[in-house]
Amino acid sequence: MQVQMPDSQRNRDLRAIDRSLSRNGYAKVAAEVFSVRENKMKQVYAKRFTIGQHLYSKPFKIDFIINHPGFLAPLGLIYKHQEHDSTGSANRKIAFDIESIKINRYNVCFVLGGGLADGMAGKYLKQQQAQMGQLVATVGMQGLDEFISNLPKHYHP
Amino acid sequence: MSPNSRSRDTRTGDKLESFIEHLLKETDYQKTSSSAFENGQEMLHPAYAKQFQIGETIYGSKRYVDFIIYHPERWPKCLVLEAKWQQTSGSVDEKLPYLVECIKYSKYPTAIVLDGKGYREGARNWLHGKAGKDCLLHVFSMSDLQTFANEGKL
Repeated sequence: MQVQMPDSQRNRDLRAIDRSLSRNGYAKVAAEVFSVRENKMKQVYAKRFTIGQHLYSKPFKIDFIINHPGFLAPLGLIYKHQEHDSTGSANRKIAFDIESIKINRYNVCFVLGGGLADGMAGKYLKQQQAQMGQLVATVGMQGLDEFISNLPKHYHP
Repeated sequence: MSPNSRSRDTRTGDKLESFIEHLLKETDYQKTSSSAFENGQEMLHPAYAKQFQIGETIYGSKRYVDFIIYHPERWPKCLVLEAKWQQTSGSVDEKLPYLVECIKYSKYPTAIVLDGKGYREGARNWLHGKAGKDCLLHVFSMSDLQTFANEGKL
């Protein structure tokens, strides 16, 4: 008998990001072909894309990478989630992502799910954004669709 | 992580703290309460407090450190000791940059005692590369800390 695992909030949010990108005219391509020349002039995105090595010298995979014909450089999305009432420590891994982004050349946006967007980690990321050009935006799941639908307006690499 | 593995990790983490505490006692540090430590009572002699609150984290919440020690000659401005144990492999070591940022933010001289086989080599290397910068003075293994104490530096 197959055991059905409960669907996590993370998976539901990742699917919502997927849907938002599709709805706004971005076509999904495999991560391996995202960077090929013909995709550079298209509205495309890929999931689980390696942007280089992270702080500990292993492949640094981000959740989404997006391209638009108007972009000079693609934009990565990193999704972070923590339950509203959780005492967990997922937010303590954000500094690791920030430091890993700094050693790579990609621009990224953090998408925060659960209680993170309104929490202290969200405020910290906004402070970092002011000091770090590569950190383009920090959006909560609620503002995500608006952000993606106006991406060329929000993002000027 | 299963409840069993979590309790095992906590237990082994506690052992690292016990090791540090034992070493402090051997080195003539006296345990004191956080409030007594904060008020500077009994501070004519080497003293330490556990789970001591020093300022805030980079997120603005209260920050608690594993140990804070005071020694009139060696550590007149105190030294924070953070115990980090990782028994099994996983992504817990991705919290180390957060710790380093908090240390930088707090401005207290700090040493991290890092041990356990679960840390990735890259994580250890990265952390050792941070030692000697800002307020992070040392990154020790358990045996390094023992040597440090044996040399009369703790």
